[in-house]
Amino acid sequence: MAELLPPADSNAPAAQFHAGLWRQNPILVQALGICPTLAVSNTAINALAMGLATALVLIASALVISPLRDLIPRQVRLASFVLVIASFVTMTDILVEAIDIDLHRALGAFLPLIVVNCLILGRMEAFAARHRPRVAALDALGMGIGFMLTLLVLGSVRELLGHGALFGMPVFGAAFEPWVIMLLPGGGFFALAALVLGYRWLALRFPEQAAGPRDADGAAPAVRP
Amino acid sequence: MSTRTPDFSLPGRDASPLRVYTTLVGIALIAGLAIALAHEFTRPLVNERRAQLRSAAVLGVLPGAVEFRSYVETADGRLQTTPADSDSASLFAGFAAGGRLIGFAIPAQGMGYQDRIRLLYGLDPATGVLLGLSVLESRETPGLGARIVDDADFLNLFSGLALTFDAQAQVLPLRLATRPGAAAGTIDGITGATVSSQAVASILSDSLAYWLPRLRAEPALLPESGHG
Repeated sequence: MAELLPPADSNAPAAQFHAGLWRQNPILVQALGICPTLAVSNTAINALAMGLATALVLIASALVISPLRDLIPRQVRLASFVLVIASFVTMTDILVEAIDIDLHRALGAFLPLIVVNCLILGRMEAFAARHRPRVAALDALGMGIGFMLTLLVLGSVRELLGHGALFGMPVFGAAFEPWVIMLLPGGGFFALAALVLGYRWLALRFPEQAAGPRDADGAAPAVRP
Repeated sequence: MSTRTPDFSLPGRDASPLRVYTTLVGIALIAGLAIALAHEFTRPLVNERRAQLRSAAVLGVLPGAVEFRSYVETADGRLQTTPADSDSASLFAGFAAGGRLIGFAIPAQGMGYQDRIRLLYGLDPATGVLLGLSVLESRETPGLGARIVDDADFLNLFSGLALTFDAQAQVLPLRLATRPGAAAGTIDGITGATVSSQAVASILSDSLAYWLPRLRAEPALLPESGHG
Protein backbone atom coordinates (compact mmCIF):
# COMPACT_ATOMS: atom_id res chain seq x y z
CA MET A 1 0.00 0.00 0.00
CA ALA A 2 3.05 2.20 -0.10
CA GLU A 3 1.67 4.11 -3.04
CA LEU A 4 -1.29 5.34 -1.02
CA LEU A 5 0.94 6.95 1.54
CA PRO A 6 2.33 10.39 0.95
CA PRO A 7 6.11 10.14 1.15
CA ALA A 8 7.68 11.29 4.36
CA ASP A 9 9.43 14.12 2.60
CA SER A 10 6.24 15.48 1.11
CA ASN A 11 7.09 18.90 2.50
CA ALA A 12 9.88 19.11 -0.02
CA PRO A 13 8.05 19.89 -3.26
CA ALA A 14 10.99 19.00 -5.47
CA ALA A 15 11.19 15.53 -3.96
CA GLN A 16 7.49 15.13 -4.64
CA PHE A 17 8.06 15.95 -8.27
CA HIS A 18 10.89 13.43 -8.58
CA ALA A 19 8.94 10.67 -6.84
CA GLY A 20 6.63 10.12 -9.80
CA LEU A 21 9.47 10.22 -12.28
CA TRP A 22 11.52 7.44 -10.76
CA ARG A 23 11.19 6.28 -7.15
CA GLN A 24 7.40 5.85 -7.25
CA ASN A 25 6.93 5.65 -11.01
CA PRO A 26 3.21 5.00 -11.59
CA ILE A 27 3.72 2.12 -14.02
CA LEU A 28 7.05 0.58 -13.02
CA VAL A 29 6.59 0.73 -9.24
CA GLN A 30 2.93 1.34 -8.44
CA ALA A 31 1.68 -0.73 -11.41
CA LEU A 32 -1.24 1.66 -11.86
CA GLY A 33 -2.95 2.29 -15.17
CA ILE A 34 -1.66 -0.93 -16.71
CA CYS A 35 -4.72 -1.37 -18.94
CA PRO A 36 -4.17 1.71 -21.15
CA THR A 37 -0.43 1.14 -20.84
CA LEU A 38 -0.66 -2.22 -22.56
CA ALA A 39 -3.48 -1.33 -24.92
CA VAL A 40 -2.25 1.83 -26.61
CA SER A 41 1.53 1.50 -26.39
CA ASN A 42 1.77 -0.24 -29.77
CA THR A 43 3.21 2.84 -31.46
CA ALA A 44 5.24 5.72 -30.10
CA ILE A 45 2.76 8.36 -31.20
CA ASN A 46 -0.21 6.56 -29.59
CA ALA A 47 1.76 6.10 -26.38
CA LEU A 48 2.84 9.72 -26.32
CA ALA A 49 -0.69 11.00 -26.95
CA MET A 50 -2.18 8.71 -24.31
CA GLY A 51 0.52 9.71 -21.80
CA LEU A 52 -0.02 13.40 -22.53
CA ALA A 53 -3.79 13.14 -22.20
CA THR A 54 -3.50 11.25 -18.91
CA ALA A 55 -0.95 13.72 -17.53
CA LEU A 56 -3.17 16.63 -18.54
CA VAL A 57 -6.21 15.15 -16.77
CA LEU A 58 -4.10 14.30 -13.72
CA ILE A 59 -2.68 17.81 -13.36
CA ALA A 60 -5.95 19.62 -14.08
CA SER A 61 -7.86 17.42 -11.61
CA ALA A 62 -5.24 17.96 -8.91
CA LEU A 63 -5.41 21.73 -9.45
CA VAL A 64 -9.19 21.69 -8.97
CA ILE A 65 -9.47 19.14 -6.18
CA SER A 66 -6.65 20.34 -3.95
CA PRO A 67 -8.09 23.86 -3.40
CA LEU A 68 -11.56 22.38 -2.86
CA ARG A 69 -10.39 19.70 -0.44
CA ASP A 70 -11.87 21.40 2.63
CA LEU A 71 -15.12 22.33 0.92
CA ILE A 72 -16.07 18.86 -0.29
CA PRO A 73 -18.06 16.89 2.29
CA ARG A 74 -16.30 13.62 2.95
CA GLN A 75 -19.36 11.47 2.29
CA VAL A 76 -19.27 12.44 -1.39
CA ARG A 77 -15.52 12.86 -1.63
CA LEU A 78 -14.95 10.11 -4.19
CA ALA A 79 -18.09 10.96 -6.16
CA SER A 80 -16.92 14.57 -6.44
CA PHE A 81 -13.44 13.50 -7.52
CA VAL A 82 -14.88 11.23 -10.22
CA LEU A 83 -17.11 14.05 -11.46
CA VAL A 84 -14.14 16.39 -11.78
CA ILE A 85 -11.96 13.73 -13.42
CA ALA A 86 -14.72 12.69 -15.84
CA SER A 87 -15.25 16.30 -16.90
CA PHE A 88 -11.58 16.78 -17.71
CA VAL A 89 -11.46 13.44 -19.54
CA THR A 90 -14.46 14.41 -21.67
CA MET A 91 -12.93 17.77 -22.50
CA THR A 92 -9.62 16.10 -23.36
CA ASP A 93 -11.47 13.66 -25.61
CA ILE A 94 -13.20 16.54 -27.41
CA LEU A 95 -9.92 18.41 -27.69
CA VAL A 96 -8.00 15.46 -29.15
CA GLU A 97 -10.72 14.93 -31.75
CA ALA A 98 -10.44 18.58 -32.77
CA ILE A 99 -6.64 18.42 -32.94
CA ASP A 100 -6.20 15.14 -34.83
CA ILE A 101 -9.17 13.03 -35.85
CA ASP A 102 -6.99 10.08 -36.92
CA LEU A 103 -5.21 10.01 -33.58
CA HIS A 104 -8.60 10.18 -31.88
CA ARG A 105 -9.66 7.13 -33.88
CA ALA A 106 -6.45 5.25 -33.09
CA LEU A 107 -6.87 5.78 -29.35
CA GLY A 108 -10.52 4.77 -29.63
CA ALA A 109 -12.22 3.79 -26.40
CA PHE A 110 -9.08 4.22 -24.33
CA LEU A 111 -9.30 8.00 -24.27
CA PRO A 112 -12.69 8.11 -22.47
CA LEU A 113 -11.46 5.24 -20.32
CA ILE A 114 -8.84 7.51 -18.72
CA VAL A 115 -11.69 8.25 -16.34
CA VAL A 116 -11.26 4.84 -14.72
CA ASN A 117 -7.46 4.95 -14.73
CA CYS A 118 -6.81 4.18 -11.07
CA LEU A 119 -3.66 6.28 -11.19
CA ILE A 120 -5.73 9.46 -11.32
CA LEU A 121 -8.33 8.68 -8.65
CA GLY A 122 -5.52 7.18 -6.56
CA ARG A 123 -3.43 10.36 -6.64
CA MET A 124 -6.50 12.51 -5.92
CA GLU A 125 -7.53 10.48 -2.89
CA ALA A 126 -4.03 9.78 -1.60
CA PHE A 127 -2.41 13.09 -2.31
CA ALA A 128 -4.32 16.01 -3.83
CA ALA A 129 -7.11 15.76 -1.24
CA ARG A 130 -4.55 16.03 1.57
CA HIS A 131 -2.07 18.63 0.31
CA ARG A 132 -1.77 22.25 -0.66
CA PRO A 133 -2.35 22.99 -4.38
CA ARG A 134 1.31 23.75 -5.08
CA VAL A 135 2.54 20.43 -3.72
CA ALA A 136 -0.40 18.57 -5.25
CA ALA A 137 0.34 20.08 -8.65
CA LEU A 138 3.99 19.07 -8.42
CA ASP A 139 2.99 15.55 -7.44
CA ALA A 140 0.57 15.37 -10.40
CA LEU A 141 3.20 16.80 -12.72
CA GLY A 142 5.79 14.25 -11.60
CA MET A 143 3.37 11.33 -11.79
CA GLY A 144 2.01 12.53 -15.14
CA ILE A 145 5.43 12.94 -16.71
CA GLY A 146 6.58 9.63 -15.20
CA PHE A 147 3.55 7.90 -16.69
CA MET A 148 4.02 9.57 -20.06
CA LEU A 149 7.75 8.84 -20.34
CA THR A 150 7.31 5.19 -19.37
CA LEU A 151 4.51 4.84 -21.92
CA LEU A 152 6.68 6.52 -24.55
CA VAL A 153 9.57 4.12 -23.92
CA LEU A 154 7.18 1.16 -24.19
CA GLY A 155 5.58 2.53 -27.33
CA SER A 156 8.93 3.26 -28.96
CA VAL A 157 10.27 -0.24 -28.24
CA ARG A 158 7.11 -1.89 -29.54
CA GLU A 159 6.95 0.24 -32.68
CA LEU A 160 10.66 -0.28 -33.37
CA LEU A 161 10.38 -4.05 -33.15
CA GLY A 162 6.83 -4.41 -34.49
CA HIS A 163 6.99 -1.97 -37.39
CA GLY A 164 10.74 -1.35 -37.71
CA ALA A 165 9.85 2.33 -37.40
CA LEU A 166 9.76 5.14 -34.87
CA PHE A 167 7.01 7.79 -34.99
CA GLY A 168 6.11 6.35 -38.40
CA MET A 169 9.64 6.84 -39.80
CA PRO A 170 11.29 3.62 -41.01
CA VAL A 171 14.44 2.91 -39.03
CA PHE A 172 15.70 -0.52 -39.95
CA GLY A 173 15.10 -0.47 -43.70
CA ALA A 174 13.20 -2.85 -45.92
CA ALA A 175 15.21 -5.95 -44.99
CA PHE A 176 13.84 -5.89 -41.45
CA GLU A 177 11.20 -8.51 -40.72
CA PRO A 178 8.76 -6.94 -38.22
CA TRP A 179 8.08 -8.80 -34.97
CA VAL A 180 4.31 -8.80 -35.26
CA ILE A 181 4.01 -10.20 -31.73
CA MET A 182 5.23 -6.87 -30.33
CA LEU A 183 2.12 -5.14 -31.69
CA LEU A 184 -0.22 -7.72 -30.17
CA PRO A 185 -1.29 -7.64 -26.51
CA GLY A 186 1.25 -10.33 -25.67
CA GLY A 187 4.06 -8.14 -26.93
CA GLY A 188 2.86 -5.40 -24.61
CA PHE A 189 3.31 -7.71 -21.63
CA PHE A 190 6.77 -8.78 -22.83
CA ALA A 191 7.89 -5.18 -23.30
CA LEU A 192 6.49 -4.11 -19.92
CA ALA A 193 8.13 -7.08 -18.21
CA ALA A 194 11.48 -6.24 -19.79
CA LEU A 195 11.11 -2.62 -18.74
CA VAL A 196 10.27 -3.52 -15.12
CA LEU A 197 13.18 -5.96 -15.11
CA GLY A 198 15.52 -3.23 -16.31
CA TYR A 199 14.11 -0.82 -13.74
CA ARG A 200 14.61 -3.25 -10.84
CA TRP A 201 18.13 -4.02 -12.02
CA LEU A 202 18.97 -0.31 -12.05
CA ALA A 203 17.27 0.16 -8.67
CA LEU A 204 19.39 -2.60 -7.14
CA ARG A 205 22.52 -1.42 -8.87
CA PHE A 206 22.13 2.18 -7.77
CA PRO A 207 20.13 1.94 -4.55
CA GLU A 208 20.74 5.55 -3.53
CA GLN A 209 18.81 6.73 -6.57
CA ALA A 210 16.03 4.22 -6.54
CA ALA A 211 15.35 4.28 -2.81
CA GLY A 212 14.67 7.68 -1.36
CA PRO A 213 15.39 8.58 2.24
CA ARG A 214 11.99 7.25 3.23
CA ASP A 215 12.62 3.76 1.97
CA ALA A 216 16.16 3.51 3.28
CA ASP A 217 15.12 2.65 6.81
CA GLY A 218 11.68 1.47 5.87
CA ALA A 219 10.09 3.03 8.91
CA ALA A 220 9.98 6.74 8.35
CA PRO A 221 6.75 8.12 9.80
CA ALA A 222 4.25 9.53 7.39
CA VAL A 223 3.93 13.27 7.68
CA ARG A 224 0.44 14.65 7.53
CA PRO A 225 -0.33 18.23 6.70
CA MET B 1 9.64 -3.66 4.01
CA SER B 2 7.63 -0.88 5.50
CA THR B 3 6.08 -1.57 8.85
CA ARG B 4 3.85 1.48 8.77
CA THR B 5 0.14 0.98 8.61
CA PRO B 6 -1.61 3.15 6.07
CA ASP B 7 -3.69 6.00 7.38
CA PHE B 8 -7.21 5.29 6.20
CA SER B 9 -8.79 8.22 8.01
CA LEU B 10 -10.83 10.18 5.53
CA PRO B 11 -9.91 13.72 4.73
CA GLY B 12 -12.62 16.37 4.77
CA ARG B 13 -15.47 16.53 7.21
CA ASP B 14 -19.00 15.24 7.59
CA ALA B 15 -21.65 17.59 6.30
CA SER B 16 -25.42 17.93 6.23
CA PRO B 17 -27.37 16.24 3.44
CA LEU B 18 -28.11 19.66 1.99
CA ARG B 19 -24.39 20.44 1.76
CA VAL B 20 -23.78 17.07 0.14
CA TYR B 21 -26.52 17.76 -2.37
CA THR B 22 -25.44 21.29 -3.24
CA THR B 23 -21.81 20.22 -3.60
CA LEU B 24 -22.60 17.48 -6.09
CA VAL B 25 -25.08 19.58 -8.04
CA GLY B 26 -22.66 22.51 -8.09
CA ILE B 27 -19.77 20.44 -9.40
CA ALA B 28 -22.00 18.75 -11.98
CA LEU B 29 -23.35 22.10 -13.21
CA ILE B 30 -19.92 23.63 -13.65
CA ALA B 31 -18.64 20.44 -15.29
CA GLY B 32 -21.57 20.31 -17.69
CA LEU B 33 -21.11 23.93 -18.66
CA ALA B 34 -17.39 23.46 -19.27
CA ILE B 35 -17.95 20.38 -21.43
CA ALA B 36 -20.70 22.06 -23.45
CA LEU B 37 -18.42 25.02 -24.11
CA ALA B 38 -15.53 22.79 -25.20
CA HIS B 39 -17.91 20.91 -27.50
CA GLU B 40 -19.32 24.10 -29.02
CA PHE B 41 -15.92 25.60 -29.71
CA THR B 42 -14.39 22.53 -31.34
CA ARG B 43 -17.44 21.29 -33.30
CA PRO B 44 -17.00 23.38 -36.47
CA LEU B 45 -13.37 22.26 -36.72
CA VAL B 46 -14.26 18.58 -36.26
CA ASN B 47 -17.15 18.72 -38.74
CA GLU B 48 -14.97 20.39 -41.33
CA ARG B 49 -12.25 17.75 -40.90
CA ARG B 50 -14.82 14.94 -41.10
CA ALA B 51 -16.24 16.39 -44.31
CA GLN B 52 -12.73 16.55 -45.78
CA LEU B 53 -12.08 12.92 -44.89
CA ARG B 54 -15.45 11.84 -46.31
CA SER B 55 -14.90 13.74 -49.51
CA ALA B 56 -11.42 12.23 -49.94
CA ALA B 57 -12.79 8.73 -49.30
CA VAL B 58 -15.72 9.08 -51.73
CA LEU B 59 -13.63 10.52 -54.55
CA GLY B 60 -10.95 7.92 -53.78
CA VAL B 61 -13.18 4.96 -54.67
CA LEU B 62 -14.66 6.68 -57.73
CA PRO B 63 -11.70 7.31 -60.05
CA GLY B 64 -12.45 10.21 -62.38
CA ALA B 65 -15.09 11.78 -60.16
CA VAL B 66 -14.51 15.38 -59.15
CA GLU B 67 -17.69 16.05 -57.20
CA PHE B 68 -20.39 14.06 -55.51
CA ARG B 69 -23.88 14.29 -54.11
CA SER B 70 -25.05 12.60 -50.91
CA TYR B 71 -28.24 10.55 -50.77
CA VAL B 72 -30.09 9.17 -47.79
CA GLU B 73 -32.48 6.24 -47.95
CA THR B 74 -35.93 7.08 -46.66
CA ALA B 75 -38.14 4.69 -44.70
CA ASP B 76 -40.03 3.67 -47.86
CA GLY B 77 -36.82 2.78 -49.67
CA ARG B 78 -36.51 5.88 -51.84
CA LEU B 79 -33.37 7.93 -52.16
CA GLN B 80 -33.37 11.59 -51.26
CA THR B 81 -30.60 14.09 -51.63
CA THR B 82 -29.14 15.20 -48.34
CA PRO B 83 -26.80 18.06 -47.51
CA ALA B 84 -23.15 17.26 -48.15
CA ASP B 85 -22.27 17.74 -44.49
CA SER B 86 -24.76 15.13 -43.35
CA ASP B 87 -23.32 12.18 -41.43
CA SER B 88 -26.20 9.88 -42.30
CA ALA B 89 -25.74 9.47 -46.05
CA SER B 90 -26.61 6.01 -47.39
CA LEU B 91 -24.66 6.47 -50.58
CA PHE B 92 -22.91 9.04 -52.70
CA ALA B 93 -23.18 9.63 -56.45
CA GLY B 94 -19.93 10.76 -58.05
CA PHE B 95 -19.75 12.88 -61.18
CA ALA B 96 -17.01 13.61 -63.66
CA ALA B 97 -16.11 17.18 -64.58
CA GLY B 98 -18.79 17.38 -67.27
CA GLY B 99 -21.55 16.21 -64.94
CA ARG B 100 -21.47 12.63 -66.23
CA LEU B 101 -22.36 10.04 -63.58
CA ILE B 102 -19.28 7.93 -62.78
CA GLY B 103 -20.87 5.62 -60.24
CA PHE B 104 -21.87 5.31 -56.63
CA ALA B 105 -19.75 5.22 -53.49
CA ILE B 106 -21.53 3.01 -50.97
CA PRO B 107 -20.67 2.59 -47.27
CA ALA B 108 -20.99 -0.95 -45.92
CA GLN B 109 -20.13 -2.62 -42.67
CA GLY B 110 -20.01 -6.00 -40.99
CA MET B 111 -18.06 -8.14 -38.56
CA GLY B 112 -14.39 -8.79 -39.10
CA TYR B 113 -12.11 -11.02 -37.05
CA GLN B 114 -12.21 -8.86 -33.91
CA ASP B 115 -14.61 -6.03 -34.45
CA ARG B 116 -16.76 -4.21 -36.97
CA ILE B 117 -15.17 -3.37 -40.32
CA ARG B 118 -16.46 -0.30 -42.16
CA LEU B 119 -15.89 -0.08 -45.90
CA LEU B 120 -16.59 2.33 -48.69
CA TYR B 121 -16.69 0.94 -52.22
CA GLY B 122 -17.29 2.39 -55.64
CA LEU B 123 -19.79 0.73 -57.98
CA ASP B 124 -20.92 1.33 -61.53
CA PRO B 125 -24.38 -0.31 -61.49
CA ALA B 126 -24.86 -0.09 -65.26
CA THR B 127 -21.83 -2.23 -66.11
CA GLY B 128 -21.68 -4.16 -62.84
CA VAL B 129 -18.08 -3.26 -62.19
CA LEU B 130 -16.49 -2.36 -58.86
CA LEU B 131 -14.54 0.88 -59.11
CA GLY B 132 -12.56 0.88 -55.89
CA LEU B 133 -12.49 -0.08 -52.23
CA SER B 134 -11.34 1.68 -49.12
CA VAL B 135 -11.41 0.34 -45.53
CA LEU B 136 -12.60 3.20 -43.35
CA GLU B 137 -12.42 1.54 -39.98
CA SER B 138 -11.16 -1.78 -38.68
CA ARG B 139 -9.55 -3.23 -35.59
CA GLU B 140 -8.11 -6.35 -37.15
CA THR B 141 -4.95 -8.03 -35.86
CA PRO B 142 -1.94 -5.73 -36.37
CA GLY B 143 0.46 -7.11 -38.97
CA LEU B 144 -2.06 -9.73 -40.15
CA GLY B 145 -5.69 -8.82 -40.73
CA ALA B 146 -4.95 -5.11 -40.42
CA ARG B 147 -3.28 -5.30 -43.82
CA ILE B 148 -6.71 -5.14 -45.46
CA VAL B 149 -6.47 -1.40 -44.74
CA ASP B 150 -3.26 -0.65 -46.63
CA ASP B 151 -2.25 -3.70 -48.68
CA ALA B 152 -2.25 -2.14 -52.15
CA ASP B 153 -2.26 -5.52 -53.94
CA PHE B 154 -5.40 -6.52 -52.06
CA LEU B 155 -7.25 -3.22 -52.46
CA ASN B 156 -6.36 -2.95 -56.16
CA LEU B 157 -8.17 -6.23 -56.78
CA PHE B 158 -11.40 -4.32 -56.32
CA SER B 159 -10.62 -1.62 -58.87
CA GLY B 160 -12.30 -2.69 -62.06
CA LEU B 161 -13.44 -6.05 -60.71
CA ALA B 162 -16.30 -7.32 -62.89
CA LEU B 163 -19.10 -8.83 -60.82
CA THR B 164 -20.65 -12.13 -61.86
CA PHE B 165 -24.37 -12.78 -62.16
CA ASP B 166 -26.53 -15.88 -62.19
CA ALA B 167 -29.19 -16.75 -64.78
CA GLN B 168 -31.74 -14.48 -63.06
CA ALA B 169 -29.27 -11.59 -63.24
CA GLN B 170 -28.82 -11.73 -59.48
CA VAL B 171 -25.33 -10.74 -58.39
CA LEU B 172 -23.26 -13.67 -57.13
CA PRO B 173 -21.33 -13.33 -53.87
CA LEU B 174 -17.64 -12.55 -54.15
CA ARG B 175 -15.56 -15.57 -53.29
CA LEU B 176 -12.01 -15.83 -52.06
CA ALA B 177 -9.80 -17.65 -54.51
CA THR B 178 -8.18 -20.73 -53.02
CA ARG B 179 -5.30 -20.30 -55.40
CA PRO B 180 -3.98 -17.26 -57.26
CA GLY B 181 -5.18 -16.33 -60.69
CA ALA B 182 -8.68 -17.74 -60.36
CA ALA B 183 -11.88 -17.11 -62.24
CA ALA B 184 -14.01 -13.98 -62.50
CA GLY B 185 -15.87 -12.95 -59.37
CA THR B 186 -13.16 -14.28 -57.10
CA ILE B 187 -10.52 -12.32 -55.25
CA ASP B 188 -7.18 -13.35 -53.82
CA GLY B 189 -7.13 -13.04 -50.06
CA ILE B 190 -4.11 -11.83 -48.11
CA THR B 191 -1.93 -14.63 -46.79
CA GLY B 192 -2.27 -14.70 -43.01
CA ALA B 193 -5.41 -12.61 -43.16
CA THR B 194 -7.91 -15.10 -44.54
CA VAL B 195 -10.63 -14.26 -42.03
CA SER B 196 -10.34 -10.52 -42.59
CA SER B 197 -10.17 -10.88 -46.38
CA GLN B 198 -13.20 -13.17 -46.25
CA ALA B 199 -15.01 -10.63 -44.07
CA VAL B 200 -14.38 -7.88 -46.62
CA ALA B 201 -15.70 -10.15 -49.39
CA SER B 202 -18.88 -11.02 -47.53
CA ILE B 203 -19.56 -7.45 -46.39
CA LEU B 204 -19.24 -6.40 -50.03
CA SER B 205 -21.44 -9.25 -51.25
CA ASP B 206 -24.21 -8.45 -48.77
CA SER B 207 -24.16 -4.77 -49.62
CA LEU B 208 -24.09 -5.45 -53.37
CA ALA B 209 -27.02 -7.86 -53.12
CA TYR B 210 -28.99 -5.07 -51.48
CA TRP B 211 -27.98 -2.06 -53.54
CA LEU B 212 -27.28 -3.34 -57.05
CA PRO B 213 -30.88 -4.44 -57.85
CA ARG B 214 -32.20 -1.15 -56.46
CA LEU B 215 -29.85 1.02 -58.41
CA ARG B 216 -30.52 -0.98 -61.59
CA ALA B 217 -34.28 -1.35 -61.23
CA GLU B 218 -35.06 2.30 -60.83
CA PRO B 219 -33.24 4.57 -63.20
CA ALA B 220 -35.37 7.27 -61.62
CA LEU B 221 -33.10 6.95 -58.62
CA LEU B 222 -30.21 7.98 -60.74
CA PRO B 223 -29.70 11.71 -60.67
CA GLU B 224 -30.80 13.64 -63.71
CA SER B 225 -28.07 13.81 -66.29
CA GLY B 226 -28.17 17.57 -66.39
CA HIS B 227 -26.39 17.88 -63.10
CA GLY B 228 -23.97 20.75 -62.73
